[in-house]
Amino acid sequence: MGEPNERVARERGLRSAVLAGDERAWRAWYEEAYDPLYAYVLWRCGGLRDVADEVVQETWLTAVRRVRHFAPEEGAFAGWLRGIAVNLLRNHFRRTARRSTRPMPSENGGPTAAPADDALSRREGAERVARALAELSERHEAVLRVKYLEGRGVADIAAAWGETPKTVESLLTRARAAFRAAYGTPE
Amino acid sequence: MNDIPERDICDDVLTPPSRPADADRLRRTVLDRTSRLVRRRLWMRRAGLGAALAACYVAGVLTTRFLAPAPREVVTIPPPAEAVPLPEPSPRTLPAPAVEDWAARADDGERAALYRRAGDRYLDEESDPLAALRCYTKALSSGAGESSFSPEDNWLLMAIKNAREKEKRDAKNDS
Repeated sequence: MGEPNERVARERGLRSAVLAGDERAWRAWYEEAYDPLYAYVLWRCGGLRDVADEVVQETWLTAVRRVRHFAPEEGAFAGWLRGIAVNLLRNHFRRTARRSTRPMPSENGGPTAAPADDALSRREGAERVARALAELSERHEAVLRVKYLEGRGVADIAAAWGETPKTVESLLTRARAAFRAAYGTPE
Repeated sequence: MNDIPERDICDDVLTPPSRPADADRLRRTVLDRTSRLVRRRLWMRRAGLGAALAACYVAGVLTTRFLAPAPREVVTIPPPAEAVPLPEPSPRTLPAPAVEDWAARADDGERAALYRRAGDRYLDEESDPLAALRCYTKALSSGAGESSFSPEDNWLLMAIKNAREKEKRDAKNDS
């Protein structure tokens, strides 16, 4: 209980300082949260660097403009940033999905054939991962995130979430199944 | 039958990608852009504070200007004019009773003329023939030769002179 209270008090102080225009407070907050956010966005993008860069940039700009609405008692700053990033990613992939449904004219006038180019196929694979992650429930996404992105073991997650390892293992199994289904892989 | 456990697709595709080598460039760029917004917030805050102070100052100035009592009108008092000497009292300007009073205190040489004037004024201005009769009688009694008729004599004075003349004649005849 002491740690969350400490976190809430600290983040409240940082938010007030940033709202008052304290650049040093912002810099400290930014340096602390940048790497985890970037890693998360890159992971959620399936490793698409250009999309991750754009989304991370937009996330921080949104965060600094809307920091007044951040409520430390409702959750950590890192989680709030992730929420902004997820919304931006959803919008991004919605736009690209709309574009990809339109047939692109080829040289002979018909729809383009499946890209054989490696880079293009890697990109398509990454977008598939990103879309599959976007389709998961919040809890499934969270357990996959701590397992794969943060590299934490089942016991560690269970301790952090106040669950039994068995519950976490079960949740992880269901999350993986959900991902496979969204990704389009037979179980 | 295959003894090698099938690798989960999740382990392949959910393994986090490696951090790009030039990730710090973006980090700095974003930090600069966001810091600029924080700085702008500081300036906006200061500008807001300055504007509020200026508004308070203007409000204060306006309040003192419009609510303060109007300045008192300066009244210039002209220097006192030099005292004008009052005219010497004269029988022409004094009222009839004053002239009569004056005649009573006057020398013998002036007395008949003053009573005569007091009588004229009683008759003309005060419409008081009795007072006029009294003054005329005293004038005739005071002045020698005043009983002779004159074209300036009014009806009352002529009547008195006439009566006095007749009285004198009667007295002479009686003697």
